Amino acid sequence: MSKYFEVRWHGRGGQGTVTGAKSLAEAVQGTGKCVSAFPDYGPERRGAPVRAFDRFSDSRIRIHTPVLSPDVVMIVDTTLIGGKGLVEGAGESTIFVVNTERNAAETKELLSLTTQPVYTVPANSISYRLFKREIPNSAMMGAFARACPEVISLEALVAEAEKIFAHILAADLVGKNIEAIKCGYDEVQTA
Amino acid sequence: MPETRAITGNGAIAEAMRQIAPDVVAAFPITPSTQIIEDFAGFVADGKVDTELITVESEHSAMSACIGASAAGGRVMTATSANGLALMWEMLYVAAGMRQPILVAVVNRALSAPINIHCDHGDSMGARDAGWIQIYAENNQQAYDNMIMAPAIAGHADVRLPLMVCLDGFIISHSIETMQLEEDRQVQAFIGEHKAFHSLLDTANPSSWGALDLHDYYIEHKKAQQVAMANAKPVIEEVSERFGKEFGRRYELFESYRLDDAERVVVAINSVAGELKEVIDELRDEGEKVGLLKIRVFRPFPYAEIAAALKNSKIVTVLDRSTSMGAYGPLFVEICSSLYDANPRPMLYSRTFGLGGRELLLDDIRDLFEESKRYLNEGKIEKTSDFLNVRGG
Repeated sequence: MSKYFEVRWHGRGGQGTVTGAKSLAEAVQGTGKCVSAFPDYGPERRGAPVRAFDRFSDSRIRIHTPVLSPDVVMIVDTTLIGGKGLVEGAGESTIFVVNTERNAAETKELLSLTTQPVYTVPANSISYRLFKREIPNSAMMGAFARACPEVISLEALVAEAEKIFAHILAADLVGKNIEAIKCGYDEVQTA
Repeated sequence: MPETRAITGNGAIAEAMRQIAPDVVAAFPITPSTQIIEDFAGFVADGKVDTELITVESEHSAMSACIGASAAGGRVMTATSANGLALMWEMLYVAAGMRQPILVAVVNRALSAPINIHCDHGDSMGARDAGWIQIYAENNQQAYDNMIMAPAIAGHADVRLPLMVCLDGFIISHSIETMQLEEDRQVQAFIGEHKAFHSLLDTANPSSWGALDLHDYYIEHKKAQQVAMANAKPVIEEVSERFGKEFGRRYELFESYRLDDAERVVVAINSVAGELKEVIDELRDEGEKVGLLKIRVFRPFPYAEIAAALKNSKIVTVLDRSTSMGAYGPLFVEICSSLYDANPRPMLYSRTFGLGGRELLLDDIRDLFEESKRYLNEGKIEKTSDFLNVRGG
């Protein structure tokens, strides 16, 4: 792992994007890495664009600045596509993980990407299926593990997530979120 | 067993408070310090601490409750930010003047107006003359560690002063970072029992507090507070050393980072030190003699020690994350005072940054060092004082 592995999340207020970034960091921390995760808070409004960031490293992370050159971009809400900043700072091999019902090739075109790998996951439908509402985080985390197995494997993610969710959720919801992670992992398409 | 966890700065402070287990906590949450009180209220509700949590109607009342509870003999804490700290103003001086070792986590945030919730140091810097010890933290770990050290410092018999542990709003308070939480029993053994010097509840030894004190004694009491502040310096060193032995993380009054042979030095406070270290390492790899002096203890201010640490420097850039309207930034003024007698005296200038959360990126810091290089080569400082990353600048 180069010095810092950096992830930038784009979502909308109320979708749990910040929680997603934090849960992912906690899970990666569980594998023995140093992590940091933080939101880019503006006014806290439901529906407003929200960014959150992760950094993972083998050594202590000293910097607190927003992620400008992401290794991974997590797009939680496709209505943000076309807006400012989603592809900003992306390199040729920056990985895009997108919550969408569209196929990966179409999504790649929508984002005007060329060399960058795109992973799509229908995290909203997974979420409706399991929770009867839209909380795409856990499925997005699963898709992340599929896209970046060198950062965290599905097995490690599930093991860590069980511990993390057990602190904050009732037992049945822990199970459903683990299921969402697995579905997210399984239902990924790539382009 | 110590536990490695990814936790927010606020969460870390709340854990420290749980371990300190104060008798009384006054609660009037304000962004970005809110989670401290939320988490701590959870600990109280879950029976993890037997603290009396007093929900008050304002920060002025929060500090008043703290003063009363402390005068009654309790170990007392609260947390606040920005306008909340400002509303405590009158009572901050009362807490200090009454020599109550109250502990406050100040999550640094810009003061209104205009309304802003993000980080700068205007709140705690404004309180620098109030008679409180101020200890600053670069990251979550340091915020936690400083809070663990706070009771032993504030409550020391030679000190008996209130103490603020300051951490950057959002940047630290809301970021999760990998850090180590120490074991409850070990922390509690380190902190020791709270010993009230006088208690209003001790009816066998009645005492008066807050009595009228005119030209007959007021100035002696103020002198005594200065003496207590002077005493605080060796006490902070001693407690920090004991902490280092116990937990393995060593702290001094300030941190010298690659400073010994540094010609160009930046002096800064809090989280920006992380970015500075990152850039300093890069520049060192390129052969540049650059270094950082990171302030940890701002009150009492370690003038002589800082002068000694900067004796090899040729040019010093002081970064203030607050501003004193009509004057230089508070840190710059202190560094100038530290270096007045230095011979040779390094070139010195002031840069204000980050007000209301304006970012200072790694490239900006590179530019800053580029500027100091130019000033040093030219032998003259173009602008003694300026704002960074500002429109119309």
